[in-house]
Amino acid sequence: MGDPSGGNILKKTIKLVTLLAAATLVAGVAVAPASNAAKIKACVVLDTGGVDDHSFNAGSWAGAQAASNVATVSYLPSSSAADYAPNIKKFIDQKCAIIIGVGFSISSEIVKAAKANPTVKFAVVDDAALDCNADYSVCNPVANVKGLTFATNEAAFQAGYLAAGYSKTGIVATYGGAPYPTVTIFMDGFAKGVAYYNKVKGKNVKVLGWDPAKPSAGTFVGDFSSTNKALQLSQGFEQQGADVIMPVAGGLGAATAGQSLKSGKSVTVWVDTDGYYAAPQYASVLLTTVAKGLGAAVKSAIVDTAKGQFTNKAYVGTLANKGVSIAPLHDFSSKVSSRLQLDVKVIGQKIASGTLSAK
Amino acid sequence: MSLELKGITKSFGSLVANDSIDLLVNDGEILAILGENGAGKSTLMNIVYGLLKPDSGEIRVNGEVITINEPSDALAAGIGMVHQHFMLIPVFTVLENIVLGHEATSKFGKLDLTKAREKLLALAADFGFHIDPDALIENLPVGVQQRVEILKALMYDAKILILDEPTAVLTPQETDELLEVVKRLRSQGTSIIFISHKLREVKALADRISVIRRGKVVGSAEPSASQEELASLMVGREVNLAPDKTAHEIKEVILKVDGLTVSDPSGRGLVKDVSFEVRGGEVLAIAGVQGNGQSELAQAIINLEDHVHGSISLGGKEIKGLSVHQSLHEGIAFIPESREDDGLIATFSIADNLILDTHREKPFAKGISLSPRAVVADAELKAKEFDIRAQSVKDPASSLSGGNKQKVVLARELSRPVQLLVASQPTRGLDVGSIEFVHERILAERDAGRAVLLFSTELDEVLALADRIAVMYAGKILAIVDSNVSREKLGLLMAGVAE
Amino acid sequence: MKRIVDRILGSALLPALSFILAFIISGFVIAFSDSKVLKLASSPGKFISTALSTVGNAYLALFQGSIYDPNLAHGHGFLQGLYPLSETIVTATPLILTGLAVALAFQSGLFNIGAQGQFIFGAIAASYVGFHFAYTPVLHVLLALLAGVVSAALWGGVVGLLKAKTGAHEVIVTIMMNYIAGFFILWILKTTTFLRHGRIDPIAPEVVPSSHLPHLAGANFRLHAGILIALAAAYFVWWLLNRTTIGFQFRAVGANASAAKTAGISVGYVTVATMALCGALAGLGGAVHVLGSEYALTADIAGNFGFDAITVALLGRAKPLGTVFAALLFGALRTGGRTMQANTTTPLDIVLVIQALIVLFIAAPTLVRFIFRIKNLKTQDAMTSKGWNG
Repeated sequence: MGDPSGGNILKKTIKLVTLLAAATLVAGVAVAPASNAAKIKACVVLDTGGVDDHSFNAGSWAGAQAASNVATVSYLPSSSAADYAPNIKKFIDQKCAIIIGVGFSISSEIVKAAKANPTVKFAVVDDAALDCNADYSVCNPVANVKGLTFATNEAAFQAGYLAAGYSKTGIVATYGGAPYPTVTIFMDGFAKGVAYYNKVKGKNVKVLGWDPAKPSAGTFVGDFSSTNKALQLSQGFEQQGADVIMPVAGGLGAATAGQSLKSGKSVTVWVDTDGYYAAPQYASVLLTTVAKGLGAAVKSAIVDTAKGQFTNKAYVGTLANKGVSIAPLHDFSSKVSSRLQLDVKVIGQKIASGTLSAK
Repeated sequence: MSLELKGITKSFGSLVANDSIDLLVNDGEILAILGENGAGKSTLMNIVYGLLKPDSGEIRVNGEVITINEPSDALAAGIGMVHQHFMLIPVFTVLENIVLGHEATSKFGKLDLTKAREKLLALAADFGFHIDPDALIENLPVGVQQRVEILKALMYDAKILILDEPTAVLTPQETDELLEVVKRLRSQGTSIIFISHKLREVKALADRISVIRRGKVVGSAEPSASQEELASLMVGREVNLAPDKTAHEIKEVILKVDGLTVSDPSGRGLVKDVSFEVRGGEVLAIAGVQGNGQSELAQAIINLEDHVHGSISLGGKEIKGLSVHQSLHEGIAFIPESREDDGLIATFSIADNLILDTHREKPFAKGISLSPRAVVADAELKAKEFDIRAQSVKDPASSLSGGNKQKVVLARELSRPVQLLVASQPTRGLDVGSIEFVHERILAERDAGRAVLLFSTELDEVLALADRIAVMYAGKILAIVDSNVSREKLGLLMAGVAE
Repeated sequence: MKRIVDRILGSALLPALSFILAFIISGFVIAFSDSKVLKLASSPGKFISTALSTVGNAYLALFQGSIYDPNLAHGHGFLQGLYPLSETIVTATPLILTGLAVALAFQSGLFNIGAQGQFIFGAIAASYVGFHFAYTPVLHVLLALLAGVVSAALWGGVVGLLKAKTGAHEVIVTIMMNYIAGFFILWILKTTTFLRHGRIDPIAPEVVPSSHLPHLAGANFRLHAGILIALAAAYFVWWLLNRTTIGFQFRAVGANASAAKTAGISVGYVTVATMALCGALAGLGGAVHVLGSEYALTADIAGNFGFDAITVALLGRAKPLGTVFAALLFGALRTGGRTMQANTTTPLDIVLVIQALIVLFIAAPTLVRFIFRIKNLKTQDAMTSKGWNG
């Protein structure tokens, strides 16, 4: 009832605020951010997958961290496309020497920022990062932006061949997070690898989820974060008889691998970074990984910048320059016939040497 | 067993609910405690039953001071209580409810009801109750539920029984039966504290009467005292119990209801083929036990019900099928049976409550723009006219007492130009002073030549106000009789006995 | 006057105390999740000072990232230092509008979970008018906004209609409508009309400059006229609720539908009108977001604006002014969190912890009362539990 607690609250509040303020001040004085004059600042803007996606973002961030002897590195996550521009702006304000955008969808924001800040170096993982006009009919490179792209179709071609040979049901499947070119290129290579297997062996292994001739009918989650949808897709593929599934959806691959583990009806082809190490809990169901040398590409961009050797020359990872690769079979090396293993290896050599086209 | 209270004081903040109250109930005696709502009766009984702790004072049983910290202490001391709102679990059986809190278990923790069943049946036989131990509470009539409460107290050897407003929920027949039961209890040596504000019952039952007003015992009376004497003791001033009903002129028919049927969504009939007329300058009271279709009939008249057939005409114009808003504005004042649920918006200010149905009109609104100033100014006038006691008309309606809440509803409904007043249980739960006020207003409407349709379950109210009385039973109007009908005849009609 | 001041203080006290408590507890989370701090667990003195400095730095960065950053002002003037504040406002703008869409529904006793879907429809319509047509500047932006408002009002109004005519519960319906809107935008961004030429990922063409909301502080700041629209909308909602017959009916139905009905107020009309207006507000949020800061429609254009709106409305106690402040607070936490992560190692996710704690304390006033030993803290909030009883 009528107690004079108003004054009390005020006093308590003031006390608390004072305490907090004091703590802040002490803290501010006590630890000034340690600056290392020799190092540059390298900053990574992630896409919506997040730093723990065990794939695409994680691989890029690992590459940046690998360059920490020449650079202090930091990253910012993005919860939606609306975060890209402010995140880039934040790093520009932080005086980062190089800002690396991870992902195709961040590319146009990077290009915009690069044109406005010609002294800062930029790189984009997974996109050529060209400056295009409104209808993309004319595209030009930007002086301070380096595109880091990967011909993942080459390694996916091998994986497709491997999957077709491994499949007992004669049905394999793939799906993507969203119909980004960097996603569909995997699916394309995979499907063509299967087709090549069919041609060479005279078989008829079917691919669910992607038909290079009909890209609009591809199977996609719609984003890179809806675990449930990814799980439903995986279950659907299993019900249709697929026993090898390649999810190209960043962290959502875990949903498919989890389903493989649970049902025992399928195995998963991981993408981006070797899942045997990135997601060891699923190692027993990971047939292989279509690996993208994300880390190496990111690291070299940072190191070049630190050395003052940054150029805007596009980097394209291929089988030939080992920018993409198919990971070792690990636990599956005993379960895949040595004949098939050899075939896959030979196909890789042919693609690298240019005698076989993955396109 | 005797119970004596000495100097019981209990305050809530600045409000003194009980101010050094002394009371004595002798062995085998019925003490009636009479007081208005909010006088402090329930607080006092909750103290005796251990639900509240007094600030000071002592409780003696058979002359010895006892400490009551919680209801189990009271039960142990032989004090039982039947609350106004029953403390029964509707989906349990009678027997299960009775053993609740005293469950006897056999080996392995299995519930053993055999002994309790035997004791219950024996007890019921002693008092001449017919009761099925296995009936579900929710299927029993209210009067029987109350007997279960009484039996529950007796099962655990209550020698002093507190009955808190026990007749509030009962039909006249059930009330009479309860009074008989209470007398029988007394004859078997149980002391009774009977709390009520109904003068007739108190006079019929009590050995002695104590009157509480504003937390104090203001006096005691013999049952032979007149109702007027008791009422003025209770209220603290002269009270007019029988409002002056002057001779008046009956005018033309205002409300004509013809073949009206109301059903629930599943098609079950709630009001069945009801026809009647109300003329200007007369009060037609619809009497009946709660739940016989009165609520639905009242709501159907302002088109609040969905599944209605038949005809309703007001001043010769068919109004069935209009919206509620249109019906009210054809000239109906509507006092809903639940002030709290349907009459008022508790969190709204008094002023806002006064414009619930007229907020679209001048001077409150211009177009869609609402003028708070006009609303408040008008509210202050109405508060004066209807004697609404509040610090400010901007206070929320929830801060008002029951009587003042009803005055807000009356003020709102009677400030519009109306031909017909439909009042549902207009005095339910009100104190004597407020009842008097409401009755006067209702008769004033009648005397001004308006038609009044009064729904009431209180026989006293029906007899005091009505010019004609229609009795509703099971959705039908059983008979329409003159107001000089005997109480007994009315009681029989309400029980569904048509001759 | 004193009465009014008391009332505002009374209703702001609980959120303010909840805010302080949330920051204190989050401080512990920050300190104990920092590996640098944990390593020092063996030497208490260092442990405490490092913990304090970690938390202090994090909160300092939070402030610098959301209100004022002296580093930005250095050599560029005070105004440049306010850049973070402008970003806070940009982030808060759509949130104010979606928050109002939820708050207004609360006032009518409805629980609008559908701000997300309504936002999406507003964004789609505004984007379409923005990129597909070419009008004179002022007219164009007004038409684009109008398109967003109208389409979302229809989208929201359907919910009201379903509830009024069939009794379908608005919580279920709006949740389902969110799914429909979410997949609708995925689909529409595959159509040739919406998909940007040369792209196959879901992104629409940029809206043309004549449909952009004007910048308020020069080209270097993203601050745009959307905040003025949002504030005007908040004023409009206040005015509607407190100064009009329609708002009177909304509040009456919200506070006691049965009494409102008995007094002749049409509950069905109020339900439909409320949901349509809520849709309009959230749709305006979507339109403003597209025309003010994003310029291009993407599949995740709605971010979490529609769901954060529920928290914002609760935090603002369903009052327009409260909602504005709550949205600004959320905007500040989001933008400040960015700096916190960039400057210190404290992850951005900690702001979600802070948000969640604030809401938790607001929902459990007894706890706050107990901690601060206050007896008369105002907690009259029927609205939080109203929705489900509808």
